[in-house]
Amino acid sequence: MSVPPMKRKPRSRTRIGLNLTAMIDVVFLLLVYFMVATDFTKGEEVYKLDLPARQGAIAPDPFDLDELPLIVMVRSTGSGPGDLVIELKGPYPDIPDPQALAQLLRERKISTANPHGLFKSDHPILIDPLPQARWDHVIEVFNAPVLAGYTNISFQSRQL
Amino acid sequence: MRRRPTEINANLTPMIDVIFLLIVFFVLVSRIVDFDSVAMDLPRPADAATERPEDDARLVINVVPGPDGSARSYKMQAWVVDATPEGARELTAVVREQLMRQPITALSLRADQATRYRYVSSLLTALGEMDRTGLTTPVRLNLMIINEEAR
Repeated sequence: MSVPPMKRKPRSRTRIGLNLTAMIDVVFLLLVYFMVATDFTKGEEVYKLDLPARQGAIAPDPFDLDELPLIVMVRSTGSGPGDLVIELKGPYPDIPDPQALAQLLRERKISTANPHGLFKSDHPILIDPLPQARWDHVIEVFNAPVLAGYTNISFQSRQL
Repeated sequence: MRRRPTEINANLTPMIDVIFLLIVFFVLVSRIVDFDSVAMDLPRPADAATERPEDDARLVINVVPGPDGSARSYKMQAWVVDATPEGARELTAVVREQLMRQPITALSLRADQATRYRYVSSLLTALGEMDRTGLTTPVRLNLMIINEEAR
């Protein structure tokens, strides 16, 4: 007995479907991951100082101090990055910019490579900006002794 | 042959998933923004010898910039005081109160690059004159800048 050939249904065209739902879920999960992992305060850094010392009614007697602090005065002459005047109290050469100040302090720092230097790395350095000095100029000058490796840097106290 | 009208069905399940993901996304993003910081241009020193701030508890004091290098106010969280020596003393009293209540180890000072030093100096002097008796945790002062060479 012969078997009749199976009737073939007409083949419909092959359809390819792509389920996008799972892909959207994964994309959002990746987005959330990167949002959480990204540090939005990138670039914000700090100079760490101690709280300013309390000033008594009487200024400290210079003879009581172990070391006379090095005083760096700052004045702004304009708003540009180079528009500032730096003066170091004492027998020091003119300082044209903060980089020169860093270099001068580095050269005078006592270290194993420079045992005949003038100042130890914890020598007190006081930054004394004029009241009209711009904050960015003050920071540039503050950065110089930090860059040169000094650790005891603060601002000159002023009476309120 | 009569054609049945085309039926369109929308499966809402994945749409609900996406909406919940969006909600989680916005909840997380809103927590990352730091509301303590006032918008200003922090100084950007060249070759900055700075450190990354630590993540421990800190108070952020903003010297809110005004026109021509002046300061409008000092702002710390919800406290806003005049940018004068009296205002600085008032804010210092609030800072002391906060330091007594919480184990804060750092005060972060944010000032615009154009601000004149006199406004920052008043704040530094007032903080220096703060009565530190009773404060058990040592507090440091962090001067905040932008280091474009970071990372």
